[in-house]
Amino acid sequence: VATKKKKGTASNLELVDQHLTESEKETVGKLRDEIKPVLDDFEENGLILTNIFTAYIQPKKANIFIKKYDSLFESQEEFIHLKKIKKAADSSNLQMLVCSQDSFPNLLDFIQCNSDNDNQQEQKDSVIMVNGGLSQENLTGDQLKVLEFLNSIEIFRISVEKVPKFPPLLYEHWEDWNYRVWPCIFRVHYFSTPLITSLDSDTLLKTKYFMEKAIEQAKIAQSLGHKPIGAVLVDPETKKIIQTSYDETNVSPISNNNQSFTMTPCISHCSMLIINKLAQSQIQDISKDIVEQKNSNIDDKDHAVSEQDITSNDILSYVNNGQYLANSYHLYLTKEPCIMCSMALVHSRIKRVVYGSSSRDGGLGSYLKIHTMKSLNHHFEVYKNVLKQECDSLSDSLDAS
Amino acid sequence: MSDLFTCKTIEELDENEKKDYEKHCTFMRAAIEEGEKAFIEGEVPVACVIVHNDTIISRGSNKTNIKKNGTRHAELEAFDQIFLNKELNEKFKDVLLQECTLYVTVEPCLMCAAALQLVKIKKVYFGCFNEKFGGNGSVVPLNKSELSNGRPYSSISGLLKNEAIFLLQKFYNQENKKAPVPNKRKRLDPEELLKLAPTPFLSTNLTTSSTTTATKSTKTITTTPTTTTSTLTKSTKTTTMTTTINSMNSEIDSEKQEITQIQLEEQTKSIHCDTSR
Repeated sequence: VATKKKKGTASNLELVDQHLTESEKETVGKLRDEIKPVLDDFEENGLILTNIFTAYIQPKKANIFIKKYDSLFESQEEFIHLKKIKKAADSSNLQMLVCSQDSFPNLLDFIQCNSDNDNQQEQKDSVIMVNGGLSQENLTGDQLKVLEFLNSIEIFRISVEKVPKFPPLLYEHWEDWNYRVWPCIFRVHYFSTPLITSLDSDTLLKTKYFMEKAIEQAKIAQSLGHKPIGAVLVDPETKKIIQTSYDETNVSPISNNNQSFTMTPCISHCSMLIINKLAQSQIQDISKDIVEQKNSNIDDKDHAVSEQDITSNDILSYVNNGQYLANSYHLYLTKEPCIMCSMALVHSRIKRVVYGSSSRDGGLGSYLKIHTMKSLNHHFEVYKNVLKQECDSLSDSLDAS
Repeated sequence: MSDLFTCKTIEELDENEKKDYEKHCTFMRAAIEEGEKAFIEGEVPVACVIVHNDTIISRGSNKTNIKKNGTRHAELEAFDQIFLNKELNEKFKDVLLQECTLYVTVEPCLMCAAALQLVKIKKVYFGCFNEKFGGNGSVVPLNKSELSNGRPYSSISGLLKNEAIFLLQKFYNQENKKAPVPNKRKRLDPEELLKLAPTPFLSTNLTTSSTTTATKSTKTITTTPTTTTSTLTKSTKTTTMTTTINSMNSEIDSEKQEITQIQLEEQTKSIHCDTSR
């Protein structure tokens, strides 16, 4: 089934990509292999197993028992992705999920075994008892509930089984785990960064194009004696570059004293600079707009307002219906941003960040994953490894120097 | 290595470190003064001063609104005052802020906490914690991390904490006049409510609560606005008040409806695959 499905998607892609040339198709193929979304940790989990207790029950009674289970363990969230019943491999009975082994390590001590009975077959089919005589003093509320549940139903045997600890986020995972491990429920999961399979070929080609532009910026920086790290800010709607920047932490020996700083040099990373440039251009746009508004109300040309007359109050009270910070923009970087820059991008409400090479203390995947942190008030998509080789060679020259 | 650099509260300092307490308070008060200015400018009132050899060399306050730039926090503004100033830049461009101390009213966010390492700050004193963004212990203790080109630093919390919180409360209790859409989770200013409320019972009730606000600890400050509104819903029969509250409630209701609508859609989207074979 899996191979059939794969073939199906491949042919669909071919249909969509008919307008692409052969070389473009090849590039897209390479990009698909290369680019990786930087997901939240839990989204990268494969199959992680955990132990649970299961009770062997009669198939006929399954429905009643499930109802009992549901009424007793209403708020149980841990195994919400698991079906409660599985067909037992070694008998005609069903296995029913009871609780995790961790939540009740000594459960088996409370199960009375009919060891007097030598007849194996008979033992298999006889109902076992849950021992009420053993001291239940040290048990938690949930553990007592488990005993109450087991007492109220007829069980033949308790066994320990391995089940997936977390829900399957991908259909392929569900297909595998459901038949091989334990029956699962599949719910569509919206990944914090959409997977590469959901990106179309045109987007991928554009991604490559903009990364090339970022590399260009890095090379300009290099030629000026700066660190070879470059960035471009893109409006994905118009597919136009809004701003460009490069790292300016090194005081350039070429421009030397003539270099005019826009911000503290040692924190002049390209993300910080590009955010500053964007803000400055937005203020210019706003100023122009305010001047226009003011002048439209004045007939006398001699008293016309110019941009110098604008006060900070004008800018503060201006209601901006247009662009808000870097909201809806995509940022392309040759190198993973540091923690400072990553957080600056949160403050700027960026929509997507694409970078080439990772860095040891980067904030978007390597040292932290700031774009997925629950406590922060903005989250965004991150892709890495775009034109990794080119970007890595830039970084290597950085490390060497 | 990282044990050298700590996140301590002001109470945890030993006697030797505490002897300069009054001096630290003076600098923090200077920072709070800057914060007051930011409050008047309509910015979120967070501010700082940078101190070198017991002299303030730079003052900064939050400029995110006026500069249309979410990254212009007080710390970065203060850095720029040093490094974009010709004289100060000459003095500090090579050694950076290795011998400087930062006093900031609120815990530096992750961005500023990392930036403070890059400018090689010596020590940081801050007022209240920033539980959602803080980079000196709240979210991640970045001051202790080994970052490239950075220098870890010690961070001391709780210096004039109540004053810093009071400043923020003052800001957040006022109506956001610049909000483009009417703010759904609107908080009512106790003083505004006082004007609206004609019943004598209500006004005495409110005056007592607002006087306690200033004197009591920070926890009461945070809860006051909500309690006043809840007493209002119960006691007022004034038409103006009830209408405002009604309109607020209807807004909340519509928000709820939106949420349930989204949940429904998600439920229909989720596929339940039957496994019985």
